[in-house]
Amino acid sequence: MSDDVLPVTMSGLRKALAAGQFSVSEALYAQVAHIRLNAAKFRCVTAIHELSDVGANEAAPRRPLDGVGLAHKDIFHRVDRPASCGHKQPPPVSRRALSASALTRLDAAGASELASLCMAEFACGATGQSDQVDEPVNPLDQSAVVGGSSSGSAVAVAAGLCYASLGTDTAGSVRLPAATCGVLGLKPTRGLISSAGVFPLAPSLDTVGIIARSAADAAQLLAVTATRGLRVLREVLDCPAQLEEVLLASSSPRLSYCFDATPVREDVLSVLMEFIQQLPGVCPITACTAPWFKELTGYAEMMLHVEAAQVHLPRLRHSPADLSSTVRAVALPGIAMPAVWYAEALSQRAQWAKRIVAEYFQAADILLMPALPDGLPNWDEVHTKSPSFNGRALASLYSMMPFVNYLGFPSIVFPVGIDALGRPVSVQAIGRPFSETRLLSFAYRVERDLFGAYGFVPVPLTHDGSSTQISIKR
Amino acid sequence: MKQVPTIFPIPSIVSVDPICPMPLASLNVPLSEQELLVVGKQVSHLPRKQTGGLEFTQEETSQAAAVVPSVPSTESAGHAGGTIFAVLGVPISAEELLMVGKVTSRLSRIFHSGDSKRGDQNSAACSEQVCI
Repeated sequence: MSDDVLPVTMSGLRKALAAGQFSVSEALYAQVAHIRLNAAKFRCVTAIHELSDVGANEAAPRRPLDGVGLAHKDIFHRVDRPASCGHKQPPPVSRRALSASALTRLDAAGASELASLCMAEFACGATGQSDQVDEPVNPLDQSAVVGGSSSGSAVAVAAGLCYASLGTDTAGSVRLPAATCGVLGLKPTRGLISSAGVFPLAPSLDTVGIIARSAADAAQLLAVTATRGLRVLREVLDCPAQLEEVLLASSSPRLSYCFDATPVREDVLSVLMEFIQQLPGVCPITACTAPWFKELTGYAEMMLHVEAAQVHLPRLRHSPADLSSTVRAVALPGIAMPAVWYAEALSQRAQWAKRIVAEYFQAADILLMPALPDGLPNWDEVHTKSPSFNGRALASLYSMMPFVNYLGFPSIVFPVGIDALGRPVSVQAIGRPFSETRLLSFAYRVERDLFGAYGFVPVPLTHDGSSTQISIKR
Repeated sequence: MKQVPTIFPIPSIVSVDPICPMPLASLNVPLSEQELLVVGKQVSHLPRKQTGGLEFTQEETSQAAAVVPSVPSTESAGHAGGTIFAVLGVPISAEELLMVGKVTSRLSRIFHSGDSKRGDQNSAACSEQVCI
């Protein structure tokens, strides 16, 4: 590690701060300067914030996330800075509204919010397509799509503009952009991170999630933001090296995999099969099927439409022209859905969750599925205003995600190889409710085995050929 | 008599006038013209009904009971796709209405795939609750 360059992971930064290699102020100023310099290259930042509380004399970290710069999807409300929600005319906010609970927890742990990040309008959209703000650039491949709706979060983390980011996942909106940018995306158990102060899309599916470069980084953010549990992670939160040891020391999970719930492109399937074949022998793994896949996906989709219609009804009625065609395409069908369908989906939800736990998570700890079964498409294939637009490619992009939101289970995506085009292939690991520590532990082992100690994705070069690694030279 | 419409009729234009709200069409529930009329009135008068109290509903129900045919008609259930949007005061274009019809049609296949089984399960669940 060069002395004038910050580490590429949050864990690495915290270790360096604890060892006195940098002061908290030096680290923060370097991160602010870095994001100011590089934000425009990736078009993922909507606003860079002033850091008012960085003391010139602040040297050593006192709190777990002192010196750590984060940036989040612009959907989290702050009392002094309402969220734009990816729209030029943000939704009105009650004067009594409090700052998002997740941000408050990060503030208390010492984290600094560097910037707000772009997102699909009102979190509606499987890509970063937007009529309202810039469309972000995928740091791994400019012609490849950036998934949505937490598109800015994935790009900023993959580009090395910030160490980690909070997003929201209603039907894959954290996992999908993470998979397209080759970083880790964690959708925790529904409700584990409070969604208070977060603009809703479909409240019973909405989940606050984390995008990070490393499973250890995600574990630290989860330990800070979660409202319950995670005792093991919280106990070692003050010492990132110990936290990494805990993640590596947990027992090997029992795995099952289902790669045929939906058709998977041949080269993607090869990467996934190679991945499970190369897992250590101590991880017993069995194949399984998912005959319920389409039914649960349908339930999730229907609930998304209905709840989005309820959320956006005032705008649909009084200012319809202010909403993009994508938002309208999500909300309008909800008006036409029979109420009995919605009631049925709700009434079946707990039974399905119990059934899936009984059928899959008695014999296994983790269920592996593809993240992007058709691989990572080009922007023009899935951009609805492109002459090459392919509706099937867009539908395939998010096909593996919504059923997990219906069940409310935790799920994590991370890259395990590259496809025939050299683009990342990610696996989705699903666990029983509140099994986040086990999922993160599994992801961290894979990360260390496949990618070493520098996170899932190398910090890319920018278009002008310069590195985006953060330098403390001023 | 078994009457199960299999194709969801996709609405062509917004301005058709029948009174059946779109969600009803998606359910493939056989209804007579008279029943459609009553349901349509119920939906379009919903804000008034909320202030009018239960009597209004009972009045409508009694009218419906008087006109229930021995064999329900299944036709025209989906011809009024735009009505529910009109009731809610939500503007919608013909293209969007077509899109909505496609989405609803696609999802209807999921909800209709296990009708009898799910219905039985729900009944059983209700019975258990009654017993408890």
